[in-house]
Amino acid sequence: MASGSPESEAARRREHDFFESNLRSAGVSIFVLLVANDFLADQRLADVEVACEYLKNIQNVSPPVGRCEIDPGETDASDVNAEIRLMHSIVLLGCHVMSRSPVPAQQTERFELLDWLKIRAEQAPVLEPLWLLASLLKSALQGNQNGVLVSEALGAVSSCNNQCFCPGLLVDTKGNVSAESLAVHLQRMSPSSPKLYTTTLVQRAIEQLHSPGISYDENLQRLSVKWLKSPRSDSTLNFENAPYVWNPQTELGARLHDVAWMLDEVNKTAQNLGYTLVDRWATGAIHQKFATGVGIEFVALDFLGAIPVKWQIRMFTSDDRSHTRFVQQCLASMRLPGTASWTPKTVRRDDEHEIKQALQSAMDDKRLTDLHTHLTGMGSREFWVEQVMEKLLPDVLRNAAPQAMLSEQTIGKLKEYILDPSPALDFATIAEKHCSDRLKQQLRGTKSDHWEQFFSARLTNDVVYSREVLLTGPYGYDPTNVVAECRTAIHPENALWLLEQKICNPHVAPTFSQAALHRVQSRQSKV
Amino acid sequence: MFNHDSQKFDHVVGITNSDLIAWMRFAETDLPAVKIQAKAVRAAIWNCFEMLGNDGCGASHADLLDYRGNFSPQFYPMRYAVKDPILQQQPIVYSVLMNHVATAYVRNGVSYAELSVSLKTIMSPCFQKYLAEDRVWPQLLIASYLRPYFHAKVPFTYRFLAGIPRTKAAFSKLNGWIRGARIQFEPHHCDVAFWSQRVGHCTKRTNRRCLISYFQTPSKNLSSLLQENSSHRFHQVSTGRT
Repeated sequence: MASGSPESEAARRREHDFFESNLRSAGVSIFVLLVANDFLADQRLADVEVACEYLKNIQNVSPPVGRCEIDPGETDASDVNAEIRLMHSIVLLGCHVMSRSPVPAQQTERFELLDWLKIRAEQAPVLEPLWLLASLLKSALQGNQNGVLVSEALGAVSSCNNQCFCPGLLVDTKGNVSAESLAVHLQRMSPSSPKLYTTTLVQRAIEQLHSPGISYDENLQRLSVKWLKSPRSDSTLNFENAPYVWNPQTELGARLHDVAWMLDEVNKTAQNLGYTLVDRWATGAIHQKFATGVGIEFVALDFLGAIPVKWQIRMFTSDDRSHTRFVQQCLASMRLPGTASWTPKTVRRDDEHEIKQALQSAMDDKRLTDLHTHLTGMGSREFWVEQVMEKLLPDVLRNAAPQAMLSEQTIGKLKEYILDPSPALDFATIAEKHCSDRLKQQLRGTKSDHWEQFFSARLTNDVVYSREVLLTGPYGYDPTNVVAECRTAIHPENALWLLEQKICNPHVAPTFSQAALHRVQSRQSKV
Repeated sequence: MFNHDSQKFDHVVGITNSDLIAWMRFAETDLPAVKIQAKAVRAAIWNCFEMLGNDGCGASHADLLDYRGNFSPQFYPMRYAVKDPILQQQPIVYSVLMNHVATAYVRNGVSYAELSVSLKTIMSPCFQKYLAEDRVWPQLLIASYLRPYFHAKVPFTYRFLAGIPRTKAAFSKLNGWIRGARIQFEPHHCDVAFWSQRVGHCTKRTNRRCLISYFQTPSKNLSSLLQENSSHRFHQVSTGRT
């Protein structure tokens, strides 16, 4: 590179042009990588400001050609070499930025990383750029417990045409970082809480992006990017892969392999389907083809634990004759990358095959097709007791109408039906419609003037477990079938007495009929 | 209390949920006598929802042997007994439960599920609305303590299957139910279709019940669904295959 011949000058000029054309996105990525690294090294905000200033003036900075080790002979127009050169540019730019950054207190660590990057850049074989980047980051993450931040930095790689989508960091088309998004970014990466990946912060970062097409589902562990329309061109729909490394579940650096491989596969799929791709690594834009009218509508990646399991790329078309409206790629159907480190894929496929075989045999032998899980049989003890009984039902009770109001409403409703002066409606007719048999019996024994008092005292919005329910559920006693098929063969009255003993307590104020209890107890004593 | 199942006011002698929970919480106190009794009650209540041991801990091998391979009374009605009054008196739990189930499915990569329900539940207008999508993916109930729980609609399709006793599955009655269900579900933006093909399939095997199901397909037009299901499929029912 130090040669001064016209060929080398021309090659350098071509390289410079190429570098300039890709400088912005490369600078953004390495900038965020540096920001992450700064915070990993517990640096101060001044470093970020320095890097930010550098980024603002990035177009005026000459590329670090003096440190470039790229063979000028490789500067042809092929895509692979161009991308390799782009990766070299990124690495070199990173080296350049790091070498120019002050703060000597952490210089040792910085230059260790610098040397490592240089070595990796020199030794890197001809790989897909994503693989190279993932390899770099994976190696960088080794021995680093806060690798999530570096992996997050990968997510900052952005489209150079539109606003950058990265964790809390907003970069415009000129590479400027907005103060608000940087503040959010810094807050998230605070040394006091290095792993602030709470939903609140994620949502706040989303709000900073001002992008209605981006949504993050915490429960689903999915971050979706929906591009309705490109702000730049009607014919281009940009997509970014930042969410896939933004997901907290990808904090393991090794998972970047998965993500990178999937991106590569999807890009290949898109190309096979006739799409035009630019920037085949980490970010990109898929140009809508006017011939077929096809564009990207929806991009999402699902995670199962820390493993990305499904990539969804939904394509739309304005032409109904187009053969593809929706493409969904799963890991199981994707090509296995030629890497020895990727063993879980094979295991998973074998497991899936075995499970399918076992299910098929079970369905053949035991006719599982007829077996459906009953809805009310779902839910664990934690769900029913700790969430429903202990929290949801009291919550509903608190938010329900007050007892007095409820009673008034009920009385009004009953009066409307029961106390109808119309001679055609007698009590039996109306009570048949709105009261159960047990309630009718109670009302028959009560004067109609006292019904309001009766309801005021007894009507409740709370769930009431009857004696029969408590006998059946907790103690396996079926009051309707005393002898057969009951676990506890016990006389009903004895069971009631047992239930009183078990459930009722002075601390809780017994709600069963004391008279019945005494009657049963007296019978017990006689026996 | 008001029983949403029967849509009638009922008089029940029992214990309220608040009292029962309060009593179960005595298991955490330091009062020895009360604590022992409350622990026993708590273990019994826990056993109403899950196959556990008598002490409320995980089921031992002996416990598993007790009911392995059988629909014993320990499974039904025991494990359903306490759920019934909850669902009958607070049907909003249907929505929460459906959301909870969908969460478990979706987080494990399942996007479609069929769940059995009782015909009474599915045909009850009161319960239907709580099983509709606008209630299952609610803005109505946002409770932070519900985990896992979706607070927004997710791409998950669920279908309910309800068994009908063969002796009661007269076509005229079935047709009336279907018509009623369609009318009832329409206000909830849930079109209804019936998979009567399954009717013939199932009756071949069990010979005692047929299945009726409805789909929740808000994206489809109701009229088109009716057309799709109006001719040959119902013909199977009318020709006596059930």
